[in-house]
Formats: sequence, C-alpha cells, structure tokens
Amino acid sequence: MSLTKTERTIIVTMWGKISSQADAIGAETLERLFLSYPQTKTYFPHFDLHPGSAQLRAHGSKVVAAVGDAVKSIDNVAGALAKLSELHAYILRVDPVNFKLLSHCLLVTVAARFPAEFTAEAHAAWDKFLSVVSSVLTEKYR
Amino acid sequence: MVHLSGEEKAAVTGLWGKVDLEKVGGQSLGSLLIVYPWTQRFFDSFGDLSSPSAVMSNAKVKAHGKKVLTSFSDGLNHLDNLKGTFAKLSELHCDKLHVDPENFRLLGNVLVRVLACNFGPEFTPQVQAAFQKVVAGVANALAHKYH
Repeated sequence: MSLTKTERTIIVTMWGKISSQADAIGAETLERLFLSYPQTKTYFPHFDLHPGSAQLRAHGSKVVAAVGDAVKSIDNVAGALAKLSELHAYILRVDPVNFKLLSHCLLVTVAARFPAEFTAEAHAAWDKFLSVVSSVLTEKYR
Repeated sequence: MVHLSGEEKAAVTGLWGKVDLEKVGGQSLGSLLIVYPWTQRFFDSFGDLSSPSAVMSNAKVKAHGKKVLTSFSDGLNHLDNLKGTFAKLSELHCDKLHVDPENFRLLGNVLVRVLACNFGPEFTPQVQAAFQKVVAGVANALAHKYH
C-alpha cells in the first residue's frame, strides 16, 4: 500500500495547519486512547496518566513529532522511522492492534479540531497514511 | 449488553438528540465507502461511486445512510437489550446480505469520527469513550446471530 501524489499533497498541506497545535493534539489523542481503550494503559504503568500530567504531555508531543517526521519524509516513511521501528520491535513490543487504536484516536482529535479540513478525501488520506506509519513501526516484529 | 454509567448514558443521548440523522448518516456511509473502498462491494446497485464527490452526492448513499442511522437510533433507546433489538437485522445481514461483521466495526469508528467532525470540542474524550462502547455493542449485537 503506497500513497498517491494527491494523498501526499493532502497530508502535507493539512500538516501545515495541524502542526501549530501539535502538543495539544498529542495530549488529547492519548487522553482519548486511555479513556476509550483502557487496556492501552498497560503499556504505561510507570506514567502518571491523569489528564494534563507532564508525562502525558511530553509523550503526546513525542508521538506527534514522530508523525511529523513521517510527513516531512512522506516519500520515505520507512527511512524516517527506521530507528522507531527498531525501538517498537525489540524494546517496546506494543501489540500491533494498538496502532489502529492510536491512529483512530488521532483521527478523532484532528476531526474535532479541524472539521472543515476533515473532508472524506482528507479522512481517507490520513487513515491510509497512519496505516503506512503503523506498518513501518511493526515491520520488524518478526 | 453495554455497560454505560448514568453519566455516559446522558452524554450519549444528549449528543444524539442534536444529530441530523440524514446528514450524519450520509456522511458516515459515504465516508465508509471512500475511506475503505472495498466496502463498496455491497453496493453495486447504488450507481456512481467512482470518486469522493460522486459518493458524497449519491442520493442512494444518503438515503441508505439515513436508514442505517435511524436503526442505530433505535439501538440507543434499548441499550440494555441490544442483542434483542438487533436480532432480526443480524439474521438479515448474515443470511441475505452476507456482510462480514468487521464492516460494522469499521462503520462504527467512521461514525465516531464524523461525530467528532460535527461536534468539535463538544465531542470530548469522555463522550467519545461512551460512544465507543455503544458502537462496539451495536456491532456485536449485529454479529450475534451469525452462523
């Protein structure tokens, strides 16, 4: 599965708007993830997961920054996320099902904050892009 | 059975009361067909689904979207007995329509995203969590009679 030119344009253009709220989006995405899918909290026993916690905000920023890196190298997501891919495969070992859950919560957050931009076409492009990112991050699992 | 707290029930019914079933139904079904194009396999008789604009302006998509959301509404009035409420529809989707239940999960999540788009900040993480329980419950109820 690879992104068409149109899809890449949509994503890069939207990212220009989204990135100004990157930190807030990261924190909100994680908050949505932990509330809707409580089992995902099992990966963070060492975190203070109260909404607004410094750790949550920092981690949310990290996650969104990584998405941003993928956007900036949209022609070579595998290259851009190679280190993160190894981290997830050998150290973090987050079960692959969770990438879909996180992607969904990121999409919900973006939809809520940028309704005008979240057209069906944009929705499709982002769903596909996050699917590519998830694939890259689980590529080395076995 | 879906286990919603009193607060969650109030959040769901409160928001749902403001939903334009025709608009949100059309957006949800249309988005499903665009974001997950393989779902178009069930709608050969719907005419032109060849582009996002064709799908979103397709009258049959809008009408069917409204039908689906109206049925979903019914479920919201019977959260304590979703399996009973959707028993006949479950049989229909299995025996006549031959729809893989995975599609109910896809549509449920698309609906959540469309609600986020329509309600913005009002669609808080707490409201989303409540709706995720509902869409999962409805999907399970629709799959319950499969054999």
